[in-house]
Amino acid sequence: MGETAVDSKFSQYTLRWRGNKLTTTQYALFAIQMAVIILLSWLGAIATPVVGPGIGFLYWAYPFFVVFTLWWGIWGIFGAWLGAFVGSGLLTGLPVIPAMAFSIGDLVPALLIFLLYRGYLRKHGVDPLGRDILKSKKSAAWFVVWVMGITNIIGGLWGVYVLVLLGFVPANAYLLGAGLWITGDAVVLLIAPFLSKYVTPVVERFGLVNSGWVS
Amino acid sequence: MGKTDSRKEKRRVKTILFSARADSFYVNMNPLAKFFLLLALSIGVVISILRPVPYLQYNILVLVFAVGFLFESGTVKYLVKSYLGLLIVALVVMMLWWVVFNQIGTNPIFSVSFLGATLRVTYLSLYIGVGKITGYASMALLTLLTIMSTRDADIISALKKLKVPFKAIFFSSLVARSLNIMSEDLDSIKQAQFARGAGAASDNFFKKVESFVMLSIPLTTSMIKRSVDMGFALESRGFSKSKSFSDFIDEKPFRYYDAVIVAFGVFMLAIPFLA
Repeated sequence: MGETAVDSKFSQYTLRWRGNKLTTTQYALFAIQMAVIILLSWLGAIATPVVGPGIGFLYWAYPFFVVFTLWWGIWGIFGAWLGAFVGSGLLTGLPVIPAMAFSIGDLVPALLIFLLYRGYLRKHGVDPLGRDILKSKKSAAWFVVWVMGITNIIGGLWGVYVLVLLGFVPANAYLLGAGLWITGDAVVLLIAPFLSKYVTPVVERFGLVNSGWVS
Repeated sequence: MGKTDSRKEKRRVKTILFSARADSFYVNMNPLAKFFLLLALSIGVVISILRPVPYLQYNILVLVFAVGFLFESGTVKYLVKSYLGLLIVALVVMMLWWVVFNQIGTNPIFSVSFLGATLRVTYLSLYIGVGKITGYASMALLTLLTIMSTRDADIISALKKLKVPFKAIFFSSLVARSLNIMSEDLDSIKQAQFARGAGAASDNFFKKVESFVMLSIPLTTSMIKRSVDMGFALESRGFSKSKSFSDFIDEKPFRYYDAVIVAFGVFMLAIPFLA
């Protein structure tokens, strides 16, 4: 398949700021998806093995905010940040300032994932909504390298760096903490391709997938 | 005590997390004063635990303050039921990391060698570990106290005072109110799966992962269904044309004791900088 044909196949999902008009249903949906991410982040922090100071092993919200970001752009990215700030931050007892700094570790990966999928990968035959991760080797490879790999590593290194800065984790245990964080997130991210494959058609059918950043 | 008094004493209000006593001082505090106090004490504790040797007395003072108001607001039972186990595990793990990875000091209490590595526990490393965990515990309890004693109406009221636009305030209240709805949906899905023999409670790690995967798809579809229903309901009430709140919002005025609380926050914030 040539690049132009591939481009036209996914051409409605781009990096333009606004797509279609934002409906009231979308407004409600974006609020509810943030509530779901907060809830899952909270569960990920309180119902998971604690492996280090401030480090839970399975962060259940991660695959959800990845898929929500692919669907809903800036709202998914904001949801990732809010989930970490409120769900695994404030609701687990982490104070405002540490929670704020900590949550950047989820915002940046979500942002980078959206940029790559809606920008570069869309033009190179990879579904920007991630529906083909389970059937295309190229998509699977990008998912492993970019989502489970690079962006997850950035998030993990930042999260544990903040914990060291705040005096929760000893400086010489930094790499151990980051390693545990990254491994746990990589494990739960295995859910994301299934969510993308089975639920994206439902969301598309309701006309609720963003074609740009905001709508 | 008469029946009426007993009922009055038991009256509770729904908060962001669980519920609290309706007549509690902490519950009725002005939300901006309460958030300021949380911020000031949190910064104070962070400054304290970032010292080479944490300011233990300060951390314990904040801890006592938080525990005192957890009792006063009637939220301590929820803390014990839902968070105490988690908090104890987190504190034990934190203590272990600081003892193992921070072997400093000259007065060893004991020393063990294993596979060429030596673990040396000193008075100083233990003191630092205790300083870290008291700081962490005080921040955790203070944040939980704030969340368990604050209503979503308080957040709306605080955002209104800060002149945040109507649509942004309404969006925040939708997020806050959806938390309970989605939590109930999640429980219903779990119960339904349990009734079919799937997702049974297990200590096996892989079973836990598998049962969570089975929850994720119904949870997402339920979320979409809720949004569509809510969108129609909002639109049928003319939401897209609304410019402000039409309902009365319960606002808490800034009283003299809120000023005392703000002054207390400033005082507590200054201590770790001065001492």
